[in-house]
Amino acid sequence: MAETTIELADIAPEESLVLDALEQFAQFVDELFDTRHSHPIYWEGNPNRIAVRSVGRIISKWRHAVKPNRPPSALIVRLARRLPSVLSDVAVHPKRILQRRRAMEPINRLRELDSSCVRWLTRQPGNTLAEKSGHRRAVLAVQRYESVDTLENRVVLDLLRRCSALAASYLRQHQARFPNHEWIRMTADFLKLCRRLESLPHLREVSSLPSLPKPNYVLLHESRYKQVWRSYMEVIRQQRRRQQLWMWRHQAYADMATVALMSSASRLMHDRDALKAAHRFELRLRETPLRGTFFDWTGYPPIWNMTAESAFYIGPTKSLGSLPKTSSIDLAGREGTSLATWNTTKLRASVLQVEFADERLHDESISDFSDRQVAISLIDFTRENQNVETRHRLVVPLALIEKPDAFDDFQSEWSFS
Amino acid sequence: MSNATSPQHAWGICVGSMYWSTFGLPFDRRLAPVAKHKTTKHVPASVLLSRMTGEPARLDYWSPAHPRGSANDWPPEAKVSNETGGGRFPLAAAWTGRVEDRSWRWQIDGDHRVLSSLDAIASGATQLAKIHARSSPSAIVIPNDFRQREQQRLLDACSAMSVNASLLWLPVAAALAWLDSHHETLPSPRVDSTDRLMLTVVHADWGHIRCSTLQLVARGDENGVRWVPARRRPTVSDWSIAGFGWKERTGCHRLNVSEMWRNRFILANGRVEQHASSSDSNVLEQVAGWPVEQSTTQVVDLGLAEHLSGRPVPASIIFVGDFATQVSSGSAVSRYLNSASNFRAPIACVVADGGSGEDMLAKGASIFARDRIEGRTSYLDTLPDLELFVDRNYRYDWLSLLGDTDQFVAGGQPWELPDPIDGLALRRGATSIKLVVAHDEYEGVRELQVPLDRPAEQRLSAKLHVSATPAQGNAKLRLVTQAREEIPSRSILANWDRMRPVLNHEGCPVDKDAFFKMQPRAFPELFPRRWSHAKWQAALPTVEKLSRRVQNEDTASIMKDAWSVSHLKDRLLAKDQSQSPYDATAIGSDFKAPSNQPALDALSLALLTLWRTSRHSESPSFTTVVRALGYISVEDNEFDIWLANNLRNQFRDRQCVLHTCGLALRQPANIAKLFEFVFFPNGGLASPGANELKAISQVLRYRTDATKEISSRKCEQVIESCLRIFERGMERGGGGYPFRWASLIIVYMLRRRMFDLDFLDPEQELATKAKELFRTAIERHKQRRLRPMGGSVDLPAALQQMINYIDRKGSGDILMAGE
Repeated sequence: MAETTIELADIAPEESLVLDALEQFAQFVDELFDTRHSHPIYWEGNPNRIAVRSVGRIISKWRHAVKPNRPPSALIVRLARRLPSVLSDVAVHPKRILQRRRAMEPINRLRELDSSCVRWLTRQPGNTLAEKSGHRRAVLAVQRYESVDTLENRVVLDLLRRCSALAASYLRQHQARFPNHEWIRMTADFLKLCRRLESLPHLREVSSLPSLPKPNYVLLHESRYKQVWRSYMEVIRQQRRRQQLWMWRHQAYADMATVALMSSASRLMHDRDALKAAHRFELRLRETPLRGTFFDWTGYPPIWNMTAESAFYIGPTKSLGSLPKTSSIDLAGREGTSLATWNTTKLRASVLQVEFADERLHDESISDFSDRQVAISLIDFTRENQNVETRHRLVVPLALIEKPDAFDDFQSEWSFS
Repeated sequence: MSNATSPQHAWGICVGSMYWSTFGLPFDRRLAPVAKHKTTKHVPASVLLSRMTGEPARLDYWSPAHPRGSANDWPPEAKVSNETGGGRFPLAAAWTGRVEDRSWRWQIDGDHRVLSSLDAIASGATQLAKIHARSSPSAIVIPNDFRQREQQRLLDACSAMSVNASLLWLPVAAALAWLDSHHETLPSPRVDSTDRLMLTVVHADWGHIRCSTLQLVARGDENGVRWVPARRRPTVSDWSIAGFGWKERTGCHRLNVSEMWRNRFILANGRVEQHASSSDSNVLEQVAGWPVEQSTTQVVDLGLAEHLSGRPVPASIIFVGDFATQVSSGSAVSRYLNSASNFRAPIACVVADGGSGEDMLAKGASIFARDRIEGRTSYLDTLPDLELFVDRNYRYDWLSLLGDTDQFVAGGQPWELPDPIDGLALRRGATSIKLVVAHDEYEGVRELQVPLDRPAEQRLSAKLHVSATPAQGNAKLRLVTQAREEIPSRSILANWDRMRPVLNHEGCPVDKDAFFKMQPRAFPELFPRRWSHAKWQAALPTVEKLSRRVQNEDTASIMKDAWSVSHLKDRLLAKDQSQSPYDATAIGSDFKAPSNQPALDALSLALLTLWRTSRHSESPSFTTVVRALGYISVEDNEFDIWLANNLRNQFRDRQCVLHTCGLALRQPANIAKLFEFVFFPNGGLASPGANELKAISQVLRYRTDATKEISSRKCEQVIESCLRIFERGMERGGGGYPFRWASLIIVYMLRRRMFDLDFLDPEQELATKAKELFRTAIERHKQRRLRPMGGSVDLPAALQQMINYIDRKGSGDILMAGE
């Protein structure tokens, strides 16, 4: 794998509207990944950690992903539901180990000597133990003491800190809109609990984790710590994913736009059989995005036969070459997500480009949208328009998942309806 | 759907080629049955091959079809062609491919996916049952030639998906549905009735036409007497021929294969061709590369009519399957139906093609499923032919486990062998148990090696328990060893999945007889004298003439005609050289004639009459009569005793009696007298001559129980004596009859191991001495110091074979035994 250098600008910020929107989409994928419906027509499964879900199911889920009366579900909400009792238990009664160290011990308390202590003792002047102990009446001996500075407790402490950060971020985003919602209250309580447990005196001797540890037996098999470790890995994965989402934010947003455009196409189709046929296609979703995309495009999305004559397609650019009637498209050097629409006489194919609000500072021509919006450009690359760059541009809400019909107008205009 | 999932129903599931049907019969008779079948919302059922590892094979029958293998332009996985195959395996193709165990291939993502026809059927039927019957009791219809391993595969698939299913033969399902609605047309059933009503079921489906004949048997239970169908093994009651369906009306080629595929398997209203055509190429061959043998309608029509006319006229003929109408309306079949109707009452013919046929079968299956739960016998069945190879103290045998074709058992209900097979044993020190079975569905024999958790400390006797449920998968073989003192009993269940075919050195499966011969043996098999058809035909006129003369003439006058008796004896002793190296005369050593056994029986009676009437006289022909009785190896107790008693009679022709003893003695006690006479004449060990040795070697080769009444000690002395003869012969350079007979006696005396397992232990001094002697003889033969015996015997191989037998590793017939 090619080594990539992370520049300062690529480090995910603590607070970002773009990241919030992408996180929402990631949560949407998570929920699809975690729930497998058993339906005789649509098979769903997660073979090889790839979720196979029908287009119909994804679109249905997309349309109902955001409910106006509740904040979005997130990992921290799930943790706030299942972790408090376990975390309280392990933090108040952490696993302790009996450790040994060598220290000067008064001879009346002498319990144990090891070979090093004996060597030290033989080097001391004098013949009897009393003479060798000198004027301090102490010799080097093995001392035993209890310690909580174990790997599993370090993981607990790290999890508490990370949960605090996640909960704070979630509350910052949603507490103002849904102050009385159960999830918000639960997360707020969880935040308080994490902070209280972090400051417990006996946990102060627990050192920090320098890197992601290899789990020991306790973390893998002890009933309480097993839950801690599983939750810790979920948090780590989400935070890594957050970094990835930031690095590949344009592609991740293009994925979101792909689902939104498919949803719009589905809504605007009139032929019921053609719609059902499209809904039977299957998409594959990765648990963690690869180069920003959640989709594993070995399984291609459907062609949406909008009318008897016209069709619409959105999918990976490389797949456009295999489409029927797209021989006039030049795909050389093109990547990302593309759209195509055609009828009996015309073909239009465009690559989809995403521009965020913070990028408009560098380009003054793009200054007509706010921080809560995103500009999507469709750059035509059919052969007949090769020499002239034809760019179609539209502005949509950044939190696209909250407005699933954002592309409906564009769809009806852009497809040859 | 709420009704459909109710556990109050017993379900019948029928997955045909192009149609399917499910029928739910309520346990509560007041409720209405529930039926689901293929409609315009469905496409012909197919199984989608898995594209990713971990993805299961999926049943797809909804319209619109899943894009995979749909032959549409998009997506790429929809493609269907000769190069890539297809990701959709239609069940019609799977049923056709099942007969020859064919697999469906699909090239996708640079990889090859393969799905066997059987797996596709198991997957499709199980998923259909899961969707409709859920966990309710159900019965899945299977063709009449569905093999045991196929049944087990289907049942395993059901079990994996928590489907509570049993299997039912297709003809039986059709018969149950027919009886449900037509039983009034039959005569009233009586348990003591000898009426034999028959029911014929013709299944005309894609690629195959099968005709099965069931017997209707009156069976009584607490609800009264009723007719139930009885099914015999398909080898007895079935007829099949390549059918039609796959041939296209127009030629199928690369350009139109996608369109033909879509029309047939993807479109909900796709039309099923009901007429065969003359085109040679078909969509199955184009996509899967399977050559499909197909018949013309005329061939099927004539073949079926001929088959039906050779069977008893049935009460009804049921035609089911997608081509039922086409087959039933054939001109020859129609003629048969008309002529049969003229002969007796008109035959009630039922034609249920396409979906209606599947409905009928599903209904029959649901009746069976309900009866099974309610403990009623729906039909009678026969179990498959299963034989177990048994080794009882080195006596090998094939033991039939599940009864013969005439043994009816209750269909769908467990059957257990009434008496477990005993007499089996684990040898001391054995580290594993080997079960070898021959099943009529497998080409050769199959073996299963079960390692023991610890070696058997002692020789343990064992019993084999056999149970099977007709049509419900593998028979269960359970070997239970006997508990003894501190050694607990062990139970070993044969796992059919671990059974492997027994292969010979060329890698070919071994059949029952070949396996029998492959077994290492501790003693040789009998080497009887064979009968010769040619010699018997030559002797027959003389035989009949003498028999007539004994009936019509005075025995004294016949005895005076020495020439005719002598002529008969010469005819009987003549050897058939064409059967060399086997010894063959007109009559075998088992007193059997190749044909016309009554003539032989009459001859034996005539000769015995002559022997009885003249045994106190001094007629010179008397010895000829005795010899003639010997050449037919007559089986007569009185004669047997007389021979044994007259061995020491000096007034008789001693050689004649001795020779006849070798040929005809049977009783073990009398054979023991022969041994006494030859080897221990005056209480001590003697060195017999060539004729005595020949008689002993013959009786050992011909009679199973020859050594039964001779003690092991005496047997060892006999071997010792023969070894001395062998050694003397070897010193003289070999050759000569005593050398040969002594060799044969040594090896055939090993048959004493039948009665005494420890007789002549390979490590025993006498055994070591014998083996040493044989090895010396082999060496001398190599040095050309030992002449081979007459004939074409490979002496080193023959001697090595004898060494192997002493070491309990022998195989095959004794090379030296041919006279």
